[in-house]
Amino acid sequence: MKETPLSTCERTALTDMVECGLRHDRRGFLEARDTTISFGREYGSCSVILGETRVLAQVTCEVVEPRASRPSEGKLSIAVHLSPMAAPHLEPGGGGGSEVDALQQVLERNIKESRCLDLESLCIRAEESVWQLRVDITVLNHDGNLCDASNMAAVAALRHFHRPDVLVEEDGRVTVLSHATSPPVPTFMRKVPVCVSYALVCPQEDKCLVLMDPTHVEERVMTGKLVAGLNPHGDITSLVFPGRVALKKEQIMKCLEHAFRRAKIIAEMVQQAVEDDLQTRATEDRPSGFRDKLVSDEEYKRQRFTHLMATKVLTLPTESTEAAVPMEEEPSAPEEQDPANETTTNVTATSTNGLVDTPDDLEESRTTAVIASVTKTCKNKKKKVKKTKDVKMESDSEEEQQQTLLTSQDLQ
Amino acid sequence: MEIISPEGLRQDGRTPTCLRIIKCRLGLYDRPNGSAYIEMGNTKVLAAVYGPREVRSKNKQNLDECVIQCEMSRIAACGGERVRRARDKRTRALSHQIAGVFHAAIRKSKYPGSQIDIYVQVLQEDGGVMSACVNASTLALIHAGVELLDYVTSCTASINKQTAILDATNMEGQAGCEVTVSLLPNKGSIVSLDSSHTVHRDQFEAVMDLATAGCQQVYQELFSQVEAYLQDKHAIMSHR
Repeated sequence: MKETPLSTCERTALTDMVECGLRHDRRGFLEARDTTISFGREYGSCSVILGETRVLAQVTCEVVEPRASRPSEGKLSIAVHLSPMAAPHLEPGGGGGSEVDALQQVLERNIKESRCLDLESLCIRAEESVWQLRVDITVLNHDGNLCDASNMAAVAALRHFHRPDVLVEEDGRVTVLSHATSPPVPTFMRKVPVCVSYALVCPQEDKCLVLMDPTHVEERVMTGKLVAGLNPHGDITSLVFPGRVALKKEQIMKCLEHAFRRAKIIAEMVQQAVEDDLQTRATEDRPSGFRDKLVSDEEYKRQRFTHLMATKVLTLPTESTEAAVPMEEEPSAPEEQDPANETTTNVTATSTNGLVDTPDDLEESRTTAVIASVTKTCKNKKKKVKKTKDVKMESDSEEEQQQTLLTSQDLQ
Repeated sequence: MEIISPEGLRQDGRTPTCLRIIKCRLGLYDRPNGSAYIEMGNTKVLAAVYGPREVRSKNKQNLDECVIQCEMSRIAACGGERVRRARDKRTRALSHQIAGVFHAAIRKSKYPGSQIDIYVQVLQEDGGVMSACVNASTLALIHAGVELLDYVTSCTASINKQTAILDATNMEGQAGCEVTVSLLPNKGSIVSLDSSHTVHRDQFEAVMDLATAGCQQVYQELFSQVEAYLQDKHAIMSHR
């Protein structure tokens, strides 16, 4: 089935919203969706839920002959399966086309080529038998940002995986022992590779907004993307920016800086999830598996709604500020300086400051925004664009001021 | 084996910040609208451009912009080992990326509802294949007369024991990372970035800067070639 094309109306609505500093699911530009990592009954089966994207990774192992060129190293293979299960427009048969190719390349670079998994520990007898680990990643529901989700699932599954112990007899025969007779051996992973994707949306020429963790709709309207594979130790394992947009170097470096901050959070989350599960597994005699952990889309939406109600809308004092609050990025600074230029700076500020914001900063700015009670940014958009040209010079200098202000905030 | 000798020279006598010799030619064939050949050291690439022409499959047609497609393939004997399949996952991913680069560089709104096809054939690979492909495609597009925002030049850089090296060959690139940058040299903006193998964040900026500087050098080279080609053509035409 062909994917239903987005109407021009939907398309422009989405890009205009982004231009105003608002995302269709009310997230901040650099805010990720809720992430849940859960494990199945077996070792090495892991499901990651990222918003409405669900990915399942399963690690399996078998004893094989090593490659002649590397006789004392185990093998690791990663395969991604994208079927119509994930989204109706995907082709059956698992061929997948360019999306799967790109995904697989990123995963191989992050997990295999970065050598975060010690392949030599998978050796049983050099030149004769080694373990082969296969990671099969199945996308269950495709709602954008498959790279992050499948990378996270694959890494969590590999860390969680325990292979059975082996017995090597004198004549070189290898017997695989069952889990019941001898305790399984954990895989040894030195680092936690993380993947962070950004969508680049360019509503006008030479202006580029950066959104983290794009949903499927955002991926369809975005102009370009940047996928960074890294680990919290400071290594960049892969970096893919396949064009379509022209970026300045500073923008890329800012993205990377943010990606490293994000990588730290994700790596900790993955490690924690794996450890917790292994601990509960040791005490429990029959792990419950996925059954209780999977959440339906409907339920997820309801949870998200109640969460939004609890955190954003209900705490606000008046009705009028309600709409304005989530879309303001950093409005407080310019208003206090010069109320006349308020509208122009709001438009331009998002483009430059989108990257500097961390969720904490956002919270701060939101509270200040409530005090200043700014409204109606979206409605006046067209006016603002015109104004922007007139006051371009002034707003430029103001941007600089803002940026210095922001960095000082960051430091605090 | 030492990649950089104690005197600071590489195996082929270059300094770490020196490009390999670039040789290129515009216009080899009559059939395609544009064609070019480039040699960057031992990496040899042939590119042909068809279009702007009618869109082949109607469901891809975009009435606002043109469709850009790229197909890259390697001949069987291009590397050290015989290539079994000319179009594997890696080349498909690369062709996708090359198409992406030119999505940012071609004035797409000038060719609504039409299609531009770029075919790239790698004759010999010795490091920096992606950048050679991008450079060859740029020349072929210029030869075809397709409107570009700017030249697109591309260059790779690698790192060896804390020293960033420009335009690494296969052997030099084996140990370190490979960062490929494609640049619009006159605008100074990056249209594609690709990094494989691990590089540390502290070194990354240096490698990227070196690759960007390399792109500017490549630009000088390509520009002089195009200029020479045009003068040549123009001389013939005025002679008639």
